Amino acid sequence: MAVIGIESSAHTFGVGIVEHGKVLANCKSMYKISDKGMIPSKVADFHSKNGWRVIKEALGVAGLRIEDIDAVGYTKGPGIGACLRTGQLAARAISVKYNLPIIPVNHAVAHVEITKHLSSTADPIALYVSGGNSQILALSDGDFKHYCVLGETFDIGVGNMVDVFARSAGLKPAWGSTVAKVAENGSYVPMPYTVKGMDFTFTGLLTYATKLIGKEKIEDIASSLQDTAFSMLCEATERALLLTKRSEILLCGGVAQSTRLKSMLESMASTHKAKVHVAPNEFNADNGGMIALVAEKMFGAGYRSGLDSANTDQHYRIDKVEIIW
Amino acid sequence: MVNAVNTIRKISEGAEADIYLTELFGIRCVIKYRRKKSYMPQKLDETLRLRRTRSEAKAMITARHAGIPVPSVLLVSRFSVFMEMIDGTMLYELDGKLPRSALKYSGKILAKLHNSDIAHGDFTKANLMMRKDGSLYVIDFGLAAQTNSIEEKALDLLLLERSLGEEFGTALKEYKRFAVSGSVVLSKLKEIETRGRYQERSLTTAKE
Repeated sequence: MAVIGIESSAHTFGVGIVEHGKVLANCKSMYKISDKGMIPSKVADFHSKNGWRVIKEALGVAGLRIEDIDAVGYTKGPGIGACLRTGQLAARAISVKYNLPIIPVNHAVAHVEITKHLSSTADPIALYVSGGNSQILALSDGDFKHYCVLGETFDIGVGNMVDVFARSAGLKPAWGSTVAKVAENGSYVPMPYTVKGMDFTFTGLLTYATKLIGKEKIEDIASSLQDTAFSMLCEATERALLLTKRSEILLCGGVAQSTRLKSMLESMASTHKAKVHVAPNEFNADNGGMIALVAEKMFGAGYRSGLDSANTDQHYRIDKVEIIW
Repeated sequence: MVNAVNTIRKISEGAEADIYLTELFGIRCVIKYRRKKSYMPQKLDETLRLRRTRSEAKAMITARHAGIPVPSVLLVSRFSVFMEMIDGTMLYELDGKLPRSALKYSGKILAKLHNSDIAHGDFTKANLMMRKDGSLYVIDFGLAAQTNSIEEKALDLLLLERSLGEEFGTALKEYKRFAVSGSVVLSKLKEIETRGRYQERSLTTAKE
């Protein structure tokens, strides 16, 4: 059974093909972000122009024809509305033309599941960090098996925070890695630190750091912003780890590409004899492979639905999704 | 540590602090020591540990002065609070329905904390201890704050409601009886419960 997955929640149009849990292809085209950030309609235009090319490319890499595909998955949400609808439209078109079942996938579930799948852990907690999201998650058993949100950001995602700071400081995209590079030789300046239980906020930190631009050395601000935000994430995760008494942590989402966050989290985990698992970077950034993987799991567990329920939802929360496999 | 401490035994490890049992001048006492978090910048770690240790001790002392049953603080060092050891059972360890007196008492204690402008920050069955004589003590002021914020106080009630479930009514009645600004806190609680994130976020905790 081969399943194609289409991801288009933000600037990446990704297409992945998965067969029996093996990722055969994971292709993408990325909207080049200007200094102003993303304009949803322009990103959606870009996706609709490049979508078919990426789908064909993925089929080529997998060595399959579209007739060999058994189901099509796509990102239902959360994400940017206009972008989500482009991917949904592509999936619906394939579904109608080739008479394939269509499977709506939650973007956050996909990030966690691909990392879990590739690291073959049994019962981890997850720190999911990206541009728009920052959550601490754990699977909860019961009548409704789902990813329970143990803690999350009260305002913006950590990636978004770093991006906005980088734009204010006039740094070049891709901002996450640029800030990390600038931060390399910085030293610590005290900044606001807000953790409440297992939840956290970033806007206060962002405002403070932005106001320091021009007053302190940029490498010091960048490094302190990064270290303060990551310390908050690590401390909240530490609480979740001890609360749930688990011994494995998945680090996933776009910000999981940060080597600094990874090393801080590993340092935290080692004091509790816990292990950190991170997927290769192509699966941390938005990608179609993770969507295909979850679509295959859902399809295998018997998920069936018509085109009617193949909608999009910008605010599709992870704890609303039943994990049926 | 001070010389007056003889034997010292670690009894538990929390997310940010280790709990030790010892004797100080013949008094059985508990030491809450905030561990070093090596993953953080050292200066941030020390600032946080110092600030939290101080605010915890301060909140406990204020509560004690207000006649609220909390362990008395014996000594505060940089990252440790030495406190009186209380013998008892945590409410969450009790089987079946909670005694009515304990429920009433939990409401009264929270009201008195709020009257002294202390928000506990983690007011749940896991931090309420019942002694053999049935009296109740509130422990762990690690997340407590000296504040008159209605929101913080309402969050205490929200946590207690989640923790007690159906039995919350009895505690709430007593809270209303003793809390000076009880009605304002209560209407804030109602507002918080209608907010998007609390409505949407699943309240089930992950299996332990």
